[in-house]
Amino acid sequence: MLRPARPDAAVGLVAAAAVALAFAPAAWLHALEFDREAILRGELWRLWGAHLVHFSPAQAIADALVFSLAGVFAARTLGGRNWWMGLLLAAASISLGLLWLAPDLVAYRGLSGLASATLLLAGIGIGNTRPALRPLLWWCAVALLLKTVADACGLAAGLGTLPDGVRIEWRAHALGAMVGATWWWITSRRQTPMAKTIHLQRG
Amino acid sequence: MTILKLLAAGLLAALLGACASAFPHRDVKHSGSIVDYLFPNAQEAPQMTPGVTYLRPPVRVGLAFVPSSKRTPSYTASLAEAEKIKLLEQVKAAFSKHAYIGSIEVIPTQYLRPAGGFENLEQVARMFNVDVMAMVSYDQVQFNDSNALAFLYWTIVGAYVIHGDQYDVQTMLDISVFDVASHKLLFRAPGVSQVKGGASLANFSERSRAAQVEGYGRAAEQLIPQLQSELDNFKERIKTDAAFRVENRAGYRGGGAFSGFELALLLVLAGVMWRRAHVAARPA
Repeated sequence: MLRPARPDAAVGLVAAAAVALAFAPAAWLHALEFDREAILRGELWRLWGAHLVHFSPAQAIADALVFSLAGVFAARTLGGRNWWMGLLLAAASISLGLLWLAPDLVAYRGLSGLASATLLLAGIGIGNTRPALRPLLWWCAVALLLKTVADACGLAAGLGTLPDGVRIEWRAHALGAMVGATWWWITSRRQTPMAKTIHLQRG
Repeated sequence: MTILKLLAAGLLAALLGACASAFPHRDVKHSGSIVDYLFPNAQEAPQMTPGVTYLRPPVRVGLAFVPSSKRTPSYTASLAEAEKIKLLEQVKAAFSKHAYIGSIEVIPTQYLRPAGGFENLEQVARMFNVDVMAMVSYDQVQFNDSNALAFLYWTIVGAYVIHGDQYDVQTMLDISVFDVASHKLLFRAPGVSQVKGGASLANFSERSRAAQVEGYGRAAEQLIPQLQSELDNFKERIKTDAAFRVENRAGYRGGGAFSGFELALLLVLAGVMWRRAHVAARPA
């Protein structure tokens, strides 16, 4: 049984929480952020909390807008159940990936990793339901790839919403895209032929 | 007989007067001076060697009260440690609003040695793994006076109900932030307060103690906005002041941050989808 309201609700609640926490006391932000030493000490809630806290309200609003727009696209075009579970697993996977791939990263905050995952899901979903838009989607994908390369080289710092002393963690975006692709692969394998038909009809 | 009565009355008056004067309220002074702590044996002004101060964000900050000097008797050792920690927590909240500040450690005064100098400061900084120490020095003076109503203490009941004693508590807190490696003063922020009040002989001690705590609290309330302003000024100053250099430490802080670029791409995509759906829905 498909429940299209649930993915929208999951995306909306996560985005709203991220924006609300941007105005929370600093102690809360420190308690939730990705802190390498603290995670290795056993404070595992930070694997999820890091995606909900930000360094500035501007960063939180930009991330939440991209996440909610892409999430709504993805939810509308893909439908599907277990969005909460998917988001939880994606968040933990991105944080664990950062723990492994970025040993110099001492602290991380931001929803953009998860937003990357939903961007990729939205792209695949739109491409499947509206084949005419595939060329445009490819252009968007190339533009995002170039932006990620620019972030990695430190060329796009002026475009960012981060305060001084904080770098854009491009690996979170790359990990998010990989997690999104994995999410899509698992979902597409588990969907029944009937559900696929319903999605195509809804699209 | 009359002489005896007069003598007895005089003796009683003298005894009551002695009772009242058996509780003298001396003026009280509490202080913890940063100069006494850092330069205990200085005969002349300390010489600063010119050099560059390196700051590596996120800066780890230690917060502590300056210990009172050896000369201060322990029974007048000002604020209780619990109250000091409470005040330092307020200051900590002011520091933690800035992204370039990393961890902030509240350091109990017991870890600092009176007149310990920079040697002691460096030991504590190493122990708590901090780069910068924010030291709160304090100076509190309590003036005590009796007013005309104190005469009624002679009635004994008056000592419990008449507010014949007055206090005037003047407090200054000053936070000075030092770079531990270079011993350089980065910035400072002050806060002052004055608390006045009256009490009866019986509860003067309790009231005046509460006034002392209130004095510290009010001075801290005034100090925190000044500290915020100094932190903002310092952030701007290090961009232009050649005496400071900001370097990245091993390890960095990263943010997953999208910008208007990604948002614009999404809006273009949404616009194209909407337009196509609109054109398709239009009757031929």
